[in-house]
Amino acid sequence: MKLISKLTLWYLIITAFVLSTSGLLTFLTVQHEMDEEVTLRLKRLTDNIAEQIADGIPLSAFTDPYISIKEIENSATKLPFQIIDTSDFYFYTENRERKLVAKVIYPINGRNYYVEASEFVVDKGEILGAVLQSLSWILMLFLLIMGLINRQVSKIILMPFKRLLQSIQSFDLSQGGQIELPETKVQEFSELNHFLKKMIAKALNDYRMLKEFAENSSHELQTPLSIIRGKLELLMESDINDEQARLILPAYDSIEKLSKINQALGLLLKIENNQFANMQPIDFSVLTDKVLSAFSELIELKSITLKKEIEDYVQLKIHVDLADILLSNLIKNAIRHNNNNGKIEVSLNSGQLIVKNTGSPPEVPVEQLFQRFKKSNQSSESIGLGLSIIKQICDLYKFKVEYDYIDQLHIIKIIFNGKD
Amino acid sequence: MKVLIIEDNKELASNIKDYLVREGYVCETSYTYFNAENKLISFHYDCIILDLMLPDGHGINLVRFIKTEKNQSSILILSAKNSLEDKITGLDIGADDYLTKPFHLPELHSRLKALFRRKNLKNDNLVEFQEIGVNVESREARVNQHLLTLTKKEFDLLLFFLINKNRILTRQTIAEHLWGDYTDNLANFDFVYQHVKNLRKKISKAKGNDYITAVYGLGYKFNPNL
Repeated sequence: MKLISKLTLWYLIITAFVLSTSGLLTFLTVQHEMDEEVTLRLKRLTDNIAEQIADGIPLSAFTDPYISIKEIENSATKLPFQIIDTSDFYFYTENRERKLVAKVIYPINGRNYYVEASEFVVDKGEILGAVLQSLSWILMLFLLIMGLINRQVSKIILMPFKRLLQSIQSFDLSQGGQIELPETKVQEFSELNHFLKKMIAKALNDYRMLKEFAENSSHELQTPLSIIRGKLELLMESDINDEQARLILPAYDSIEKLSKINQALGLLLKIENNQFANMQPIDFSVLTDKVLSAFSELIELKSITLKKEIEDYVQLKIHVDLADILLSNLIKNAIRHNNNNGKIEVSLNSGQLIVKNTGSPPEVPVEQLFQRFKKSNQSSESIGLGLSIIKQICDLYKFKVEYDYIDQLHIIKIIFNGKD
Repeated sequence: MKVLIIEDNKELASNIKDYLVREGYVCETSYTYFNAENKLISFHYDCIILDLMLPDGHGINLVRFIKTEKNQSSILILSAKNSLEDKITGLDIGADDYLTKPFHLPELHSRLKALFRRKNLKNDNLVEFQEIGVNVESREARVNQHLLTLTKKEFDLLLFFLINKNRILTRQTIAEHLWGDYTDNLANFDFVYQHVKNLRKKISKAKGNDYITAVYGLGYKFNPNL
């Protein structure tokens, strides 16, 4: 729900409440005033009749149909002035209408006269109707004005807010750069601006520091790793016995693994930092063939059957190093997680690249395998970054990558113009 | 053979020196750009091992300096940066080879040997040991004058062993030498075992001695003192 709709709705609810209360009050006031007026008039009328009777005018002289006068025998009966609310058939409207009747007994010159006078008044329902009608006109007018105001004024008032939203939406942390926040005189918005600026500056700073840390650590680790590896290699050459060799071996293997992880993380970082910006169309078909033949011995050593369907002249706009890394990671993966006497199927056309291989079923949900350090088999020797690198490269070029395990086949599919 | 090692990290420099001295090289080390420049002006070296990141200057400028001095030394660049651009710049301005840190010492040695072979054209295509002879140019290997039918990888492996005689070559070192950039993630070193096994079989078949032995599970060694 839009902010302006919400405001309008609340405004309408309040307005409706106020209008109906004031309508009720108007109705009661009008009704009361009218009754009082009529009562006063009837009182004057009956008093006037009593005076005329006292002046000796005969009763037959009063011909008004709304007046009736009777002489009462019983001198003891007393009736003070009273108004009775009733209704009667009204000749002109041919309807029953509300009628106020005044009744009173006057003692005049030792005799008692009963005087009754009546007057038709406007029906309660009619007053209510009139009030409601006028109120609904007011309400409609009100809605019309509110609508216009909301459309026009809100545009002006909320403009800075909308511009702010646009700036935030177009901001990408990984792209760095500063965010342009529109100036505004509205206090709330300028507070929001201020807060956002601070937050973004902090986020940018944190992001930069994180990147620097990763870059530095990846770079700075290379030399110590080289030293350790060299020392271990020299130590191996010295006169060592079996037991010492058993101590050196795991240390050496761990150093190897560490340096592999470091290299892979460094590569991921470089892809993330867009350091492979330079991209030209390359013949992906030729490259795929090249990578496959580079691995042909490994494929043979495991007695794997390779089936390839590679369409000629598949052109892709991709950095040649990354294309090489992507393909070799895919093929390496297919070899490493394969069984002896298994098979690999590689098919490439202008739309997609599919690599299928046999292998033991994955032990974690396949979609998790693209995460860093997620391995299908946690005890395996691999470092668990191969698929993350594939994913990262695909993300960079907006390729869509899918991993499936169907019919005992691991299937990685890369769709080149995948992300709609 | 005189080698100048220009590397600001003393431990790394001493690793390289230790390894190469055992192979009979004469090694000197420089830890700074300034010192290296002085040495290069005063002495001649057959090969210069150069780290690009020096505390008082960039190694690339040293390459330029060496080239303008019409120095005949071969240059092998060491760099912690594994990027194609660096590699291309380095090789473009006259370096002869490029090795990324962290590297294996036997790999460094084998690269150096290759550089020397390229430099000294005269009759140096032959690497020989007892009954084994390897021609680097024609890529032929013979045992007792018997031509071996080796795959490309087996040939490279044999040459690697011959250059690093009496050295322990770990499975990782061998894998990286044979497959280069493709090794990462190839955690399974069965491949190395297979290649070594095949090579040994082929040498034995040609009545050659089985010089290659497994060492404590660390790796393999070409043992010349049978």
